[in-house]
Amino acid sequence: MVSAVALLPPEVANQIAAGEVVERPASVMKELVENALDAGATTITVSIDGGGLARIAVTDDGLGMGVDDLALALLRHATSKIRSAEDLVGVGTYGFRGEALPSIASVSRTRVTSRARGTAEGNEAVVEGGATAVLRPAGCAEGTTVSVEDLFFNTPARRKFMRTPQTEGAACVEGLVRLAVAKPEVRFVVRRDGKVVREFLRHADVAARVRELLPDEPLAELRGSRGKVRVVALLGPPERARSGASHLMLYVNGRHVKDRLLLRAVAQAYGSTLESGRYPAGAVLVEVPPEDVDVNVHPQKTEVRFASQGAVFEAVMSVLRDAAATAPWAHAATRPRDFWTEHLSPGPAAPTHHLPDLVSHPASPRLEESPRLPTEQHVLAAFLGAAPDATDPWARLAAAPSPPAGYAESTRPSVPQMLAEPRHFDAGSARSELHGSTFGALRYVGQLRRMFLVCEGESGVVILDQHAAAERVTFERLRRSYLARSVPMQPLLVPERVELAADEVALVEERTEELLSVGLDLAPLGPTTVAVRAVPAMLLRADPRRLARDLIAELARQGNDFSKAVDLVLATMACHGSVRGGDEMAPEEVRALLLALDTVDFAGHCPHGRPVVFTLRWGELERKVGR
Amino acid sequence: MEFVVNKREFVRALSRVQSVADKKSAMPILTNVLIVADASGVRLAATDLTLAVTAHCKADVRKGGTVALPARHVFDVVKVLPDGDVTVTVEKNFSARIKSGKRRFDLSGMPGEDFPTLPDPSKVTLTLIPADDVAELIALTQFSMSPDDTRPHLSAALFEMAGEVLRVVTTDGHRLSKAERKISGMNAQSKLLIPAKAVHELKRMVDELRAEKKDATSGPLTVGIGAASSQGPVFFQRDGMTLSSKLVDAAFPSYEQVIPSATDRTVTASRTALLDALRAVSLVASDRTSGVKLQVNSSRMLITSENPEIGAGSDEIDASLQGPDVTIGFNSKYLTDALSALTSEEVALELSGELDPGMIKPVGRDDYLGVIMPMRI
Repeated sequence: MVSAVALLPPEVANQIAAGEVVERPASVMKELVENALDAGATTITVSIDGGGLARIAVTDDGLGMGVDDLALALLRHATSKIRSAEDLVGVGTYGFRGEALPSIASVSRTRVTSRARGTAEGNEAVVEGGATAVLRPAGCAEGTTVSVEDLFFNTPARRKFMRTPQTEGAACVEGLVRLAVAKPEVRFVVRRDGKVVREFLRHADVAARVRELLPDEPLAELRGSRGKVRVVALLGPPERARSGASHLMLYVNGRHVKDRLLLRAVAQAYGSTLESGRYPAGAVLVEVPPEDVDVNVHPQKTEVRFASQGAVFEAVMSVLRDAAATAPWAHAATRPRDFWTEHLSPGPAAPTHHLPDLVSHPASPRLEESPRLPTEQHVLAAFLGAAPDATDPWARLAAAPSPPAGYAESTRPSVPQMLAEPRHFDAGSARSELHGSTFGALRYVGQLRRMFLVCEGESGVVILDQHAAAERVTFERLRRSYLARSVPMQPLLVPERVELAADEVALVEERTEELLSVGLDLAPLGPTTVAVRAVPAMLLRADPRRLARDLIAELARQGNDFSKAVDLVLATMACHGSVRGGDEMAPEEVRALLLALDTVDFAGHCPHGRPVVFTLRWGELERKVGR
Repeated sequence: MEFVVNKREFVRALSRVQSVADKKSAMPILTNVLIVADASGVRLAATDLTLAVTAHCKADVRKGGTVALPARHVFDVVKVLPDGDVTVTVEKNFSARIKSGKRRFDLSGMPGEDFPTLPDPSKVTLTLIPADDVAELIALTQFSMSPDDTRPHLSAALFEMAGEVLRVVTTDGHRLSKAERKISGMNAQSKLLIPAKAVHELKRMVDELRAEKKDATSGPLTVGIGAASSQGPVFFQRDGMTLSSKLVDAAFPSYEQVIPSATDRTVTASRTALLDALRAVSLVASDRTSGVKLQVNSSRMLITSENPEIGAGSDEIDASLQGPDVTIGFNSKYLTDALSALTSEEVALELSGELDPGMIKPVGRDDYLGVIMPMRI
């Protein structure tokens, strides 16, 4: 009888391990570069061909390996970096599992050429798909070259999940950038398909390296320590913060990590100057004693666990906050507001104060005059301007003289359009927020903290988030325009350069057509630069660079599904083109906004899903004050 | 400190400075106007630290001194005083008594010494430019400055002096205006990037100068312009008033590269007819994009706009076209801004492809050129 349980042959075990360590070309590149760094290299050259799927080669000038080491290096759990389980506490090198090279070799055609420092001759080991290595002498310089060809050639299932060579190659470059930050003393050269695309020179200090990586960012250098935690950070000003954390690189003991705790610490240090969900560009490097951090959480080692989370958070946050107080942009923010920040903003347009005030005008239609009425028919009546019943206050509303400033016309759908879109009159979600009333029927009372609009409704006090509400309306308009395939586009006289991450540039290349369809014309200029050539005409006044950065960040987060991404893109645009919190709104503008909300489905939520409106019901209010 | 001043003169001087005072500044002293009284009369000054203005008025100074008074309030109260002589006295506690006839106000002020030191124009060589030229150059260019103050290099006007030519260039990234005048006798070489607010204040200064000197023949109608160094500040001076501003510390786009060297088509039309048609048709364009479409053949120009939410509109005007027929979209505001600033009888639109930059020029003059990026509608 054949035994049901058998020990896996080593090549199968390696392939399984490869599934964890070797996800895509970028992870191969990372493992190989980390090995090179651990070997004490001072120059590392990375060549990426065909997005790394055709070939990745990493050449270093490190210690190199003799023939015996070379044979062992391709065995699983063969490592020079730790000798026993105790050594895992206080790992000082990047690699230590001893599974990277054999795993990679099991899913590719791998050739390792190495010459130990001070020896006369080099050796070469060739492995195909994890078969036993063939060793032979070879001529080469001191150091090691690992060349990985035809990645995943024997695991077609994995290969199918690879994205375009453009994207995979970009991910490799991006991965190398992350590694390069922590090793300023090493020179890196990156070639893609034969061309040198990035080169990082040797620097004495991490600050110089980060500045080299982000040449356009006005970075502030922040340093400090609390107890055993040391922090070095190079961070951009809050007004240049990006949506999402993709431009903020975090390191613990020189190792790139993705750590929510550290992200939170950065966000908290910036405090209210940072909009939520945005993070500054730059790098934060944290040093803690090796025994206080566990890096063996995940095979790719991007997660870490701190022995004392609270202490690390507190330390990072307070160092950054104190140091940030001396940052150049911090001064800019506390300087007496000069003309740039104060005088050119459109601001509270003075003439509006002279316009008749709708709120205090007894003639304007008010909700308290109207008994509770079924909604749909009366909204229709209001829009159609039909006033069959003179005693009906809704009819009076419809027949009322046009309000000033011509706002109503611009937001009210035309009659044919309205009839063609009956869904606008569903007594749907938006209405339910208002418990059966319409936004247009609310009586606007005033603005609070330049952020909330307070209205009196039939069923209670209705409070709207002005930005979310405006965003919702703009979104609907944009989407209608997008569906009609006519997003007007305004080209720029002088294209604006935007620095993006390499994988984002790849995304732009892949999505050029779709981006054009939403009115944004982006053209890659280099591995990390794109030109903004045109913006949606609707968003003429938004800063094209910030617009492009935010959109691409949203797209990158959204992944492959463009149709879903379109909504996100439109939502982002809506966000840029809308009234923001902090803008003063004239009563006329508020009325226009309320009327426009009635034409929108799901008006109760902004396109990002946040609620737009909150109703404090009369009954509740009365209970609170004991009536 | 004590002085007696004619009310009208005092109001005029106050009105010249008070708009610059920073109404919402974090530094309370900046919401004030500085008043200095000495043998030469009374000097008033205000600044927001970027822009500064000083105005002089004749006064009978009985006791010299200095005080800073809240700009808004001092202007408001002096305006409502009866005509005639206004007496201003300031006590040791910086309280100012302002009196005319029986009407009297006491305003509490701050020590004048707390006021920031303002840039001194005395060592700067100023070039004299006719006020009419300055006013016209600003009118032809100010509309294409960017209103976005986060992009200071675009929210500004480039004043370029090259020999006898004074040139002003502005761009908001989508369009560009370049206007120039020959100033006979001028010989200067400089490039000054002047922030938008200073441009607006300069316009106020020259407009006022032109209005008050229209009937009088005395006094030269010129404005002195000069910078302390290439880093600024820049000074603008007329009799009794000096405006100074920091320069924008950013690079203005190299505008020459943006101007097309040749185009395929030239459309000529009456300026007022085109302006009128555009204004009318754009009424039904989307209020956000103001897109209009121009269809031109050898003798006519058809102007249309369409907005799915409102409807559509069209108009047709006489035009002549050199080159093949063309259909091109524009933001109508970009066209109307330039057309209404121009004064020529006819204008020429020089166009190439429907996505290539177009130019607008007055026919018969070569002192203005606008570049406008078309809109893809």
